[in-house]
Amino acid sequence: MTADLNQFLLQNPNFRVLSEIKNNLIGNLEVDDHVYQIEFLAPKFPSTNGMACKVMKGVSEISLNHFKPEKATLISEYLKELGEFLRANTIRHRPGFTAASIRDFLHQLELLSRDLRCKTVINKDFTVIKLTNFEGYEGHYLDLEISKTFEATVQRHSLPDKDSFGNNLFSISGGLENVVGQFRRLLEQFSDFYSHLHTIDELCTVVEPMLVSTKHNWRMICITERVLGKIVIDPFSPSAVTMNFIGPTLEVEKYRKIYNENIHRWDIDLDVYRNLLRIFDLMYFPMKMCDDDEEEKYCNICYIYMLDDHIPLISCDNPRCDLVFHVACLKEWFSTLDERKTFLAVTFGSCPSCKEKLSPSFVQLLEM
Amino acid sequence: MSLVSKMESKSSATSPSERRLHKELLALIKEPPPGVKVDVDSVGKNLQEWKINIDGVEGTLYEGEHFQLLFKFNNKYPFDSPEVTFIGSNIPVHPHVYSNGHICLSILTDDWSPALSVQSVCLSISSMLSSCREKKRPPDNTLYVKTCNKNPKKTKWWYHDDTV
Repeated sequence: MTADLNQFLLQNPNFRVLSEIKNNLIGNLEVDDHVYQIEFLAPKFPSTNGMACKVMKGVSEISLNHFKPEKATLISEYLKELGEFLRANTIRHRPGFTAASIRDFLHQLELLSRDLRCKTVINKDFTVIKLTNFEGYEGHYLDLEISKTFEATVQRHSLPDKDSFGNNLFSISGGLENVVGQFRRLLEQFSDFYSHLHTIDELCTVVEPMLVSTKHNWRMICITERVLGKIVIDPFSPSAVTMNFIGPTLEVEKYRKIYNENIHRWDIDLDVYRNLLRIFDLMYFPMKMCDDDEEEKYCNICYIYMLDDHIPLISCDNPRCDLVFHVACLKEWFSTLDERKTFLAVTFGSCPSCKEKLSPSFVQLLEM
Repeated sequence: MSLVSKMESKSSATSPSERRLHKELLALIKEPPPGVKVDVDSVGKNLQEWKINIDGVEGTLYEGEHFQLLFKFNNKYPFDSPEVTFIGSNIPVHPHVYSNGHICLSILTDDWSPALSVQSVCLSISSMLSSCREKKRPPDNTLYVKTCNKNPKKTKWWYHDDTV
């Protein structure tokens, strides 16, 4: 065995000699997640002169008809170019890609993820990039679809979908750097918005959504035992808040009035939580003492507390009737009563227990 | 293993209707209201049929008598009312109870609400019996029993008299 061949085997431990006649070698080449079996004959080792090569992936042979190593005169260079050819080949559905353009793109991506301090994952087909673990913005993610020309289109992201005017917050396409840069700027811009919501999550009893995500720009909290407040915050101007009250008709009117009379006391230097305390002249909002399901008041229709991530929130206008119901259970009940008005109508039925009216403010709960 | 412990160990009852029946049954076994006793052995695996014994209340026309109610539930319970009839050898003689066991009681059909329960139905029936001043069959008993559907919920009841 020649010294050259020995050195090659040391540098490429995946390869072994099948036969020393014409230097017949076999071995594996790993490209991204794919493993290729390479067998070659190199009579003039280490030169590629008179070389023959066969590539197998599993049981199928990969055609090398389009593989034209340009610079390779040595076997080691040949294998390096072969690896790049195969990498481009794995993205076979994307004919526009070349090894060089992919390399450039990957390089760009690596720089970006270093700049943004986030984690990037590319799928096998090279069609989707997932960016996660943004440093300082935990829980956020951005999935991009990559076109043949390496244009990025937002597929999924962790920001709220619409602003308070119903406009799409973030759905742009363009160069990778542009799209990711804009996402990053929004994250920074929204930091007050997220911190306001975080305080509410920490210091209030949030009853909806039960599973809070970075996409939610609202919270429904307990103001009293029966009255809920729905707070919607505009991510772009987090001190602009829309507040709605949900609960028995008279109590809702009372809290609506207090809110309207004191809204002028809003101080934009304070966060939303503290402003709301000022408005209602409270030290704190009622907090749930325990998370034990058994202790909770269950829905008087299905007899359970947590139903598909919702808790029973609806109670009627009768102060002596203390039963509560899930939105879904009441909806189902009203839908079985053909002569009664539908749930969506302004007056939508009565308490299944005491027959007292249910406040129309609950209609908002349906929109969730 | 008793039925109660068997049921308590059954961690996840499947359908919402089964889940609710399961809870109602446990509560009725553990804390039965006076004069109401669920016949645990009669409760089938799927909880869709229960027999409940009720006693005539002291100081009423039915004192000392024992009756048995059959509850049948479908999978739409509690959105759909249970089918409730008296069964057995002793059908109470009452102006709202037919001799085939059918009961004319509005909460069992038109006035049913999912906020009602097996227990509240039993108590309503018991109080319906207790407020009776004269033991007699409904005036249309003979005709009704001859012509009615087996399922009392199919009868278009005319709730003519709430005072008895």
